[in-house]
Amino acid sequence: MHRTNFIVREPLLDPRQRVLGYELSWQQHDGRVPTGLDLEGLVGFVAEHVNHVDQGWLLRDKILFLDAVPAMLSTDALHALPPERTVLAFDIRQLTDVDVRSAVQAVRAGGVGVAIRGCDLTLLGRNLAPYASYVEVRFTGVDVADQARTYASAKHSSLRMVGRPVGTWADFDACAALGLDAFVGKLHLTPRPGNPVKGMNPSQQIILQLMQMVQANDDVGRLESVLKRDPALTYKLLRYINTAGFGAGREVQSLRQAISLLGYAPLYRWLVLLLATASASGYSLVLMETAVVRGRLAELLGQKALGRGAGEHLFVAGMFSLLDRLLGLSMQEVLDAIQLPDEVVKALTKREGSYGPYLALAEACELNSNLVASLAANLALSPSDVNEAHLSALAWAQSVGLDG
Amino acid sequence: MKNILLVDDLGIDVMLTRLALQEFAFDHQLVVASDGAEAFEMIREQRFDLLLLDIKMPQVDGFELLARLRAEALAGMPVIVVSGSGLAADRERAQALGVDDYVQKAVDYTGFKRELKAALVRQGCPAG
Repeated sequence: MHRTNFIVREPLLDPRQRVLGYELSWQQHDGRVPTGLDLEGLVGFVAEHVNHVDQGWLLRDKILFLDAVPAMLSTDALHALPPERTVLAFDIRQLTDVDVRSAVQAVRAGGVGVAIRGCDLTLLGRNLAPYASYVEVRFTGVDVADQARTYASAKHSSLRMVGRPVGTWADFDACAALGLDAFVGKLHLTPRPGNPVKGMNPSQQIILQLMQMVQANDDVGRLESVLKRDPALTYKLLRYINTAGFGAGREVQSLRQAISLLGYAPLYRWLVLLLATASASGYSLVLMETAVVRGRLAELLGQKALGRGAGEHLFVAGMFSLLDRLLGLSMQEVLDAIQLPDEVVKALTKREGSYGPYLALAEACELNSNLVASLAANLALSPSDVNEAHLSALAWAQSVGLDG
Repeated sequence: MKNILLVDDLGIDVMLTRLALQEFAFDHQLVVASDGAEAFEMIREQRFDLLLLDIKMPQVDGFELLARLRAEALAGMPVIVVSGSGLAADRERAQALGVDDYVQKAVDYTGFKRELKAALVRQGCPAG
């Protein structure tokens, strides 16, 4: 399946708006529903790409929810995933067979999470716990809060409830207040209203200045003197550089050392990251994490065709494509404030130029969009190329330690 | 509208049966009891058009409930046993206690639905 179709993801948020994990599924292409074999292959592919032989689980504290079929319960690949970070999501119809139920109980006993879809939540508490750790609550219609109230009152203490689709922050708040535990929806692309960010704060002004200086290959001493105005920024910048593998081969302890080891170009990406995350309030972690994954994914997708040199630009294009929402500015205001190469501007404003199609493909992977296949085909990227880059970008975003 | 009492102790089985009934899209109201004792009290208090009954339950099981209903002359409604047991002895015992139909829970949902639907139609429920 990983050779013929595409992995798409949706983030799961906890009530504190942190990204609890991701739901991964095969895109339902041309109305074709993934077969049992397809879904079995999903576990294998994920196990191979986010569980490193030496480094272990690359998604840190994130949980993966995977569309499941009974055949997955006995696949070897399931044992390669950390049970406490794995949740298999079954439709309740798949649990008709008592043998399947026994197998579900066995993996539950081994610590693997199981989510059940299609439950009648008014019947929660009737011996579901041996089979499930999560139940999925499907919201329909307009009065999500009213539905959530019904579900919350039926909640069984040992079962966690996942609400979907939670499409607005108002719905999110209603569900969180009523005790639901996790949420799936399109909130990763929606800025959190209330206490809005508008424009750049003093730290971000400093970062902006540094970005301009890096682009102009300004003297290291001058860069350091600007950075010194905000010691917290220096700390955060060095932390990013060191946690995400700057490629220096040893711990980088100063800006001067980073530049002398690697030059100016890689530094720019960390400044963009700092710019996105230096907001004191109003941002949402999920939006930020989406920006980082998008930037890295665009970079990895373009690496083969455009070479490593284009990587920094693709990363910047991906990050900047959500910077307007993170900063509470229009894209034009962002572009007025920050000088970017023409090709990056074309990508951001029209998804055109040499970088635009890669950015569009990275975005499509977040949205279960039918465009994924055609965008990849236009770039001569195979599903395997895209899927590997996607999981790699997801893992890389965790290594940055945004919420650490 | 058919007033149906479902007696089953297992949450998943209750949900699957309820789901199947919803998908048949006939006009019904479903009441659920989690064992024979609870069901017995409900039947004493209200009239049901159909009883969907599991056999293996803690405390008062399906057979015992049927025996009590007969003893109290409360067994007027059609009874469909919905059981995981395929044992001939269980079927024979159910028949002896006046059960109208016996649906063995299939290993897949589609099969279960098909069997349940056939039994409902035989018992006069217009399961579409």
